[in-house]
Amino acid sequence: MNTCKYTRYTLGIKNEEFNLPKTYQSYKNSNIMKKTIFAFLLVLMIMPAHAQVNDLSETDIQAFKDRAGEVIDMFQNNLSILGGKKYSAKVKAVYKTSALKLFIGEGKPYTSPDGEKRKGVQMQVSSMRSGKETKQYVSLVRYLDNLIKLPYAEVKLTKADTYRISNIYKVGDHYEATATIFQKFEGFMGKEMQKTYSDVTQKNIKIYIMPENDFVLGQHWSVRLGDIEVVETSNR
Amino acid sequence: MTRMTNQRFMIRRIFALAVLALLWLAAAAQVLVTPPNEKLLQGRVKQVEEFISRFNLDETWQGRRTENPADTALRAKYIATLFDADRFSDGRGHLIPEAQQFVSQVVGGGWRLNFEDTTWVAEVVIDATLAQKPQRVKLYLATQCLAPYEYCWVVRNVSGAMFDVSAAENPYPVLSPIDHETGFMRLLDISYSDGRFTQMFGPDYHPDRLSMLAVLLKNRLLQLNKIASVRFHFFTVPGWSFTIERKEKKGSFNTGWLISKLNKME
Repeated sequence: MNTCKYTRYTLGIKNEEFNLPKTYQSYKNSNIMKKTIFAFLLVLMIMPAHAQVNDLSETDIQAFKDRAGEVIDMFQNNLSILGGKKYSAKVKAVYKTSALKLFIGEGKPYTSPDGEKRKGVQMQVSSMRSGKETKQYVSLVRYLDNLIKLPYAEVKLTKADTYRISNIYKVGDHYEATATIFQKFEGFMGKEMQKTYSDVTQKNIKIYIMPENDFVLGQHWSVRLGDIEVVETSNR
Repeated sequence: MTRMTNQRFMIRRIFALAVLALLWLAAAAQVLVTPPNEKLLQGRVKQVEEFISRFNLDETWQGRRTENPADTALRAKYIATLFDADRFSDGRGHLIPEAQQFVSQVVGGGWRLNFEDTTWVAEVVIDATLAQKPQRVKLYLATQCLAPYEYCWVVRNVSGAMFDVSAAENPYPVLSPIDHETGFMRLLDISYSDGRFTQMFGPDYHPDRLSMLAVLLKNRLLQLNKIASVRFHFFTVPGWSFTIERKEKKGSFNTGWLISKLNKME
């Protein structure tokens, strides 16, 4: 049902030719050759055909996903420290800066890769109250500040092992994807450390894989995080 | 004798320290941390892409590539889990007959969903403000191929009460044949609140909602405030259409992006 007028690459094979090795040249007109090609195509047809939304090799895709996973891990670790009460304001300021550096524009207004001026990384926070979903929009900087200033005596942020990184999509000269992670938040109050709040949030984070050039690494691909959709789940 | 006394003293000292350490740990552990339920998180359909991957049996619930994607029985099982059980379960762990029929047709026909298909549409409901009045705008988006490997979403249509400026019946002309002699000052006195004024655009007038939307957005007359909801409609399987929405259910594997509506098209 794809009506794209441009050349389609299905299953990694070009439509126009198969680029056969020279050793097969002598068998071009033979029945054996035709049967071999037919069998090869038959095998490939039963393989899952993934959306061809990028020009990356499987190795590159996995490398980018691994790097994105590392950046996400760093972000989650930073959040744990910002929410924890045992760290001083100075330590939290350092980790807040470190967390912001993981994001495109470092939390400040920026020009996106498509040339659009953006206000700064935004978070859309959805929550369920009395069965009704409410949504709020807040800048990443403010979200981190709010996390630091939470009134709880103790805060525990537990990250889940389960996460998912979507397919990587080509967008002009860079690539984009989405990472879905989970975090459990527990707030404790009073001397008895009574748990007064608990939720598990799903965070859908936009990922940018962009070409960058700097003095140390030269030309390289950089992974940065973008807007975040936060969904409060019912799985407590 | 003195040596034995010292040894007993050391043992008692170590024992006392161990007891104190255990008591301290017990006190610290009062802040009990219960980790998230990983099985539930694996089971939920976290992304639309994950819905598509499970529908096609490209991916398992654990997020790994399926070993045998041609396994029709397994595929039927996976598709069954993508239905919102609250609407499509018969209460005995099975799908209702209509859903079973759909699954059979999908599996029997080998129908797959693909991102680049033109047979799925996103419906985005947005809370907006027009002239300081709250409005609801519904956008319909589809994927568009820009270049090899490159796609984007484009808005194909828009709906909402503010766009109801259809050509309306009017037995009398809005602009009189003689209005040119008075400098068309009548234009300043027309009632634009009902739709009858559209008669002055002539019989060939057909409202173009996307152009209306573009004008309103460009001139900042329409403020988009909040994404109220997002749904996806699929028309890939012949004779059927279905809608997926994000559903949150407490302590359930049947949660996330699920089929919320199924229509058999006549």
